[in-house]
Amino acid sequence: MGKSKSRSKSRGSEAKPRGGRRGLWSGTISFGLVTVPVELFSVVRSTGVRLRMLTEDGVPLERRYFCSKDGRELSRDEIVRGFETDDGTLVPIEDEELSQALPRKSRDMDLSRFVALDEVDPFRFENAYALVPSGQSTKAYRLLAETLERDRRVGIATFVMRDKEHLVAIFGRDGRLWAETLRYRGGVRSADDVGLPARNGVARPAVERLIATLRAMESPTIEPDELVDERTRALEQLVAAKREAGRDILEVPGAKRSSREPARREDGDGSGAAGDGRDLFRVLRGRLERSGNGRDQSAKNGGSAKNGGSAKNGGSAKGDGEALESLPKAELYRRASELGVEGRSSMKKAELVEALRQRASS
Amino acid sequence: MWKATLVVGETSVPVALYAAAEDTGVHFRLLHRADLEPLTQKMVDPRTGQPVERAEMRRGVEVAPGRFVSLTEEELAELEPEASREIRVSRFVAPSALDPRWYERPYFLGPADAASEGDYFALAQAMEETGLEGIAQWTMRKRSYAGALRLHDGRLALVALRSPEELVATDAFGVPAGRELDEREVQLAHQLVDALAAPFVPDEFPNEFTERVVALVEAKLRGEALPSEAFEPAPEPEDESLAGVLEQSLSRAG
Repeated sequence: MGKSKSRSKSRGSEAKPRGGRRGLWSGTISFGLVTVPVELFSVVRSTGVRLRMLTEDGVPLERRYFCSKDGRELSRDEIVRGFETDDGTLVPIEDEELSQALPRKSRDMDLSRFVALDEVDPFRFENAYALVPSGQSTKAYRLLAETLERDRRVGIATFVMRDKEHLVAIFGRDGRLWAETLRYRGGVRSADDVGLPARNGVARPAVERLIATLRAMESPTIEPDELVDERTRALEQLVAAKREAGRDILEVPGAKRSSREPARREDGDGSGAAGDGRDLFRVLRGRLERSGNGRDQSAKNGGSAKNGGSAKNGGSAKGDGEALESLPKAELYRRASELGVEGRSSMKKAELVEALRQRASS
Repeated sequence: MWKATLVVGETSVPVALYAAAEDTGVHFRLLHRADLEPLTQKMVDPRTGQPVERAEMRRGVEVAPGRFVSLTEEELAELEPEASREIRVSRFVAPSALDPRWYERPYFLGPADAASEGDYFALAQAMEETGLEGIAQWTMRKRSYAGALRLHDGRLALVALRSPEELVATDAFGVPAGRELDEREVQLAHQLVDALAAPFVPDEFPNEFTERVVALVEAKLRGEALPSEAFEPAPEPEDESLAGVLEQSLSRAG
C-alpha cells in the first residue's frame, strides 16, 4: 500500500520523529509470545490555525458549567457524567464505574490474528498512526514490519488509548510499522444499508465513452494542491498578513493563560494534537508510563465521552489543562502518589490537578 | 443525504451523497450531581468568571503566547468556499497513487433518481474495467473537500481525504536500523503469522467498552452492581532469545 515504496532505508537508527516529541501511547505489540515495545504517534496533526474565542480585549474564554436552574457556577465535584437511555432517562455514571467498564486486558496490542491486506476495508480506516520502536532492541520490531509487508498481511488487535478502546490494524510498510484505527462493526454502512439500487444492465456505448474519458483524465500521480484545504490556507495567509502589518492584534499583558480549562470532553480520537510540545499532560503521562507501573489504568473517559465528529477543523489541540481535569480522582491520586506529591491524601480533585500540573511544568 | 452533480469530463450524473460511517461510541452528558439535570455551559472571562455574550466575543488565532490576531465575522465569512452542488473529478489515478493514511471519512454516492442510473452504473462499470479511482473536489456545508472516487459494494463511493498539510511526513519517522535479521527468525515469524492467519470478520470485534457501559447502565437501572472482570496476565516466555520465543509461540498457535 502507500505510494512511498521507494523511501530510503538508510536513514540512521533514530526512529523517533524529529523534535523529541512523545507518543500518544506507549505499550507493547505482541504476536505469539513475541513482544515489541512501541510508541504510537499520530500522523495527523492539527493545522497551524486554530480559531479561539476571546474576550473583546483578547483573553481566551473558558468554558464553565452552571446549574440550569439557579445559574450558579458548579465545581467539578458537583458534576457527574450521565448516560442517556433510549427513553431519555439520564443515568449517572461515576468515574470509578467507568474505570471498571474500560477493559484493562487490552492495555497492550495483542495481534491475535493476521488477515490479508486486501481484506481490510478502507471504509473502516479512522485515524492513521506511526509506531516507533521504544525498546533497546529493534529486532522484533523490524522482524514484524518485514514479515507483514512481505506476506501482505495485517495484524488485528484491540487496545486502549486515551480512555477509549480501539480496534486497530497494524501494517508493515517501508520497514516501519503503521497503525490504522478501524471503525467498529456497525460503524460502517453497506450500500444496501443506505438503500442504493443494485446495478442493472448498462449500455455498452456509455461504458466505452466513459472508459475513454477516464483514460484521457488518467494521470500517474496526484497534485498535492488538489487535496489542499483552501480555506485553511487562506486563513493562514490572512493571519500572517495582519500579524506583519500589526493590524488587529489583541494582547493582554500578564493575562493568565487558561489554566482552568474546562472538563470539555473532546474527541480524544488522536487526530490533531500529535506533538504539541506544550501538552504537559502528555509529557507527564509519558513519564509515568516510563516509570513502568505496568497497570496504567490511566484516564478513564475524557475521550470516550464524546468521540463523535472528526470534523476537520475540530481537530484542535487539546488544552493543557483539559486532559488532567477529565481524569477520575483515583487516577489523579495514583499519579500524585507516584510523583510523591505531599499532602495528596487530603486534596480535592481540583487540588490534585493543580499539584500534578505544577509538577509537570517544574 | 446531500444532492449534487458528479462531473466527470463531459458527463454529469445527478447523485445523492450518504454518510457511510456511523458513530458507535458512547456519549455522556454532564449533569448537576444534586438533581441529575443537564447543566448549562457558558464561555466566561477567566479573570472575572463572568459569562461573555456572543456579541462581545472575538475570534482570533494565537500567533505568540498570549498574542492574538483577531478576525471579524465578515472576514471569516469571506474565507468560506463558494457554495456549489458539483462534485468535480479532476483526474483518475491508479489506486496505488493514494495513501490510505489520507483517508478520513467514507460516503456513498447513489443515483439521484431512476433517470440517472444509466450513467451512474456506466461510470461504475468503466471504473471497474479500468481499475482507476478518481480525485474529486466538492464543497459541502461551507467546507471544501477533496476525496477519492472509488467503488464499494459495486456502487460509487467518495472517501474524503485529509489535506497534505494535516499529515506528518513519512520521513519524520525514521527507519529503525540494526543488524541484518536472522534468516531462521524471519522464517519462524512468517510461520507464526501464517498460523495466526484468519479472515477479517469485524463482528468478532465488538466495542467492549460501549457494551460494558450499556451493561453498566442496565445493571444500575435494575439496581445491581456490575461484576468486574478479572485481568489475566500474558504468559511469560521461557526462552528469552527471539528465535526461542517464536518457536514457543508457534507451538502454542499450532
